[in-house]
Amino acid sequence: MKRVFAREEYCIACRLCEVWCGIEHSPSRKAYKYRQENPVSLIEVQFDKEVGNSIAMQCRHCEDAPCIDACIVGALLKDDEGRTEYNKDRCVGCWMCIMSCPYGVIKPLKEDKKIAKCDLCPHLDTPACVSHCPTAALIHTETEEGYLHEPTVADHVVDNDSLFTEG
Amino acid sequence: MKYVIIGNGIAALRAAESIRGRDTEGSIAIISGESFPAYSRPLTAYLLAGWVTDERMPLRDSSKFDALNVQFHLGRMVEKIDRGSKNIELEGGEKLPYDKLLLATGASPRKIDIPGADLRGVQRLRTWNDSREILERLQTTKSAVVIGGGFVGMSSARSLASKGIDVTVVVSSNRILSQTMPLEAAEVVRSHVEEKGIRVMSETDVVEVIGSQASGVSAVKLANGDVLACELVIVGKGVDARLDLAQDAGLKCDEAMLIDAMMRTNDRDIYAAGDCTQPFDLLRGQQRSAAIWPNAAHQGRIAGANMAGAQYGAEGFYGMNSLDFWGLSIIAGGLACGGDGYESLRASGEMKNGMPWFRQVVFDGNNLVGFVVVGDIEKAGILNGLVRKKVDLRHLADEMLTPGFDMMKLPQELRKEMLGTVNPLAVHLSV
Ligand SMILES: Cc1cc2nc3c(=O)[nH]c(=O)nc-3n(C[C@H](O)[C@H](O)[C@H](O)COP(=O)(O)OP(=O)(O)OC[C@H]3O[C@@H](n4cnc5c(N)ncnc54)[C@H](O)[C@@H]3O)c2cc1C
Repeated sequence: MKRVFAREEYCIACRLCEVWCGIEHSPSRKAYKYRQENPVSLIEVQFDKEVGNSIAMQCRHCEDAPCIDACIVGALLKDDEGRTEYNKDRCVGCWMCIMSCPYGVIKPLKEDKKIAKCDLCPHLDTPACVSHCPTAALIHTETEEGYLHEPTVADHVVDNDSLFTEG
Repeated sequence: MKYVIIGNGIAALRAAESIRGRDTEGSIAIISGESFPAYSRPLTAYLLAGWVTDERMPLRDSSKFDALNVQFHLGRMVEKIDRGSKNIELEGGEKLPYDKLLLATGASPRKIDIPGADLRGVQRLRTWNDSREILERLQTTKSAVVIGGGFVGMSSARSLASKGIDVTVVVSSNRILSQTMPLEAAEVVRSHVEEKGIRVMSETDVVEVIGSQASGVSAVKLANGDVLACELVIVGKGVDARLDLAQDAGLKCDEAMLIDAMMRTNDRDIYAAGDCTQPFDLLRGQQRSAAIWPNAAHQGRIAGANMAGAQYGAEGFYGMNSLDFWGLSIIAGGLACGGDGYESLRASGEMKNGMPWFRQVVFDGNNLVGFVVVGDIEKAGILNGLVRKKVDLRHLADEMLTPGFDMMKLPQELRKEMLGTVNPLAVHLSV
C-alpha cells in the first residue's frame, strides 16, 4: 500500500499541505470558499524554531496500528487495502486513540466528541497534500521502501519457557 | 484446523479476526456465557447516561461478524477443559474438540463483603445486562453512591451526574483515580468533577449498606458513622481475572493466567489473552495484569496470529488510560504516579479557555517510564510512544512538560528512526 512520507530536509513550512487538505475535506472542495466552511486540516506542519526545520505530520496508517487496538467502539479498522479507516458514527470521543498514537497525529474535536485524521484522500490517486507540495517534501510511495514497522509486535519468537518451570 | 475461543469480548474478537486473516479454511467456534454479539464493555457506562443506544454496542456491523465465518455458541458457559482429549465441555454436556484453544474469559468485578451488600440496588457494572439493571433502578433513583474511584467508578459517576442524579464517590485512598495518577493531578480532576456535581469523599469506606428486602438499598453507612441516603450503589472496587476453567485444567496461574510473549500458556495448544491474563509488564519487568482494553485487543491479535501458525511475540504491556469529564481530558500511561526510586517532574497552568492543565513525567534514571497529561491531550500519545523506546530522554523533560510538545521537539535522529526514511529512488518514481 502507498503511504505518505515526510522529508523534513525539503519542507519549507509553506503549509500548502494544510490548505489543500482543508480544501479537499471541505463540503464544497472549492479553494475560494473552503475557509467559510470551517474544515479541519488532517495534516499539520510542526516546527523546530531553533534549528529552523519543519515537517508535516499526519496519520501514518501503521501496519500494526495501536489506535485500532485502543478503540473501544470499533470506529477505527483497517480497510481492505490497509488504510486505517475512521467511522465517525461509531466514535464517542473517548480519546483512547489519541492516547495510543505514538506520532500524536489524531486530532480531538472536543466540541463534537469526534476525532479527525488523515484518510489518504481515498477518491484521489495522489493525496491532495502530496500533489500540492511544491518541494516534494511529501511523497506518496509504497511502504516496502524503507518503511519501518511499528515496534509493538516483534517478528520473532520470544520463548519464556522459564516462566513455567516449577517452583 | 479447529480453533475454539472461550469468551466473546475484545480479546476474543481480535483473535478471531486475526485467525481468519491467516486461515480461511479452519473452523472457529466462539463460546460465551453472555448472549450478545461482541460489544463494547466501556460503553456500558455510556448507556447509563443515554450517550449511546443499544444499536451502538456491538463492536462490528453484522456484515463484518458474518464475514468472519464463526460458529457462535452464545449464552452458554464452558464448564470444563479436557486437555488430554482436547475437548471443552459446555453446560448441558455438549463437547467441542479443539486443535488450538484460546481462553479470553476476562474478569469479573470484585465483590464487597459488608452487611447489606446483596440488597437490591447494589450493582456492579461490567456487562450490558448490568447496565440494563442499573437503568431500571435509575427510574426511582435520586441519589447514588459509587464505591471506588477507578475508571469504572468514575465513568459511572460521570454518567449518573450528567443525568442530574446526586452522586457521591467514596474512595478508601487519598484520591480518585489513585491507580492512574498522582495526587496533584487527581486534585485538578476532583475540583472539576465536584463543580459538575460529583461529590468525592476520600480516605473513608462504606461499612454497611442499609435498606429493606422490599425496596432495596436506602442508604449507606461510612466508617466515620455518616449515613448517606441513596437508592443506588455502584461498586467499582476493581476486577479479578476469571480463572476457574484454567485452574481446574491445571494451567498455570498467579493472580491471573501466566502466558509467554506469544500468549501461550504452559500447554502448547492453549493460548490466553485479555483481562484473564498476567502478561509481561514492560516497565516493571515482571508478569502483571493491567486489565485494560488496548492490551486485551493487542493480546488477542497476537494470540490469534500464533494459533494460526505465525510467530509473533509482544515486547510487553503496561497500564494506560484516557478519561474525559465534561471537556477536561486526561491521558496517563506507564508508571504515571511515580514513587520511590523514580524522578517525577510536573508543571501546571491554565489554558486559554480557563480550564486547568497539568503534566507530569516520570523518569527511571534517564528513561521516561510514565506520564500524565491533563487538559491539552492532543499529542499525549507521543509520550506514550516514547515510554516504549527506553532511551535517554531526560534532557527533553522541560519540553515534555510544556503543552504543545510535538514530534519536532524530539532529537532529529530519534524522529527519523520513528518516521522511517525513504529511498530517494522511490521518490523520483512517485513524484
Ligand atoms: C464500565 C467500564 C469501563 C471501562 N473503561 C475502560 C477504559 O476506559 N479503558 C480501558 O482500557 N478499559 C476499560 N474497561 C476495561 C475493559 O473493558 C476490559 O479491559 C476489556 O473489556 C477486557 O476484555 P476481555 O476480552 O479480556 O474480557 P471480557 O470483555 O470480560 O470478556 C470475557 C468474556 O468471557 C466470557 N466468559 C468468561 N468465562 C466463561 C465461561 N466459563 N464460559 C463461557 N464464557 C465465559 C464472558 O461472558 C465474556 O463474554 C472498562 C470496563 C468497564 C466495565
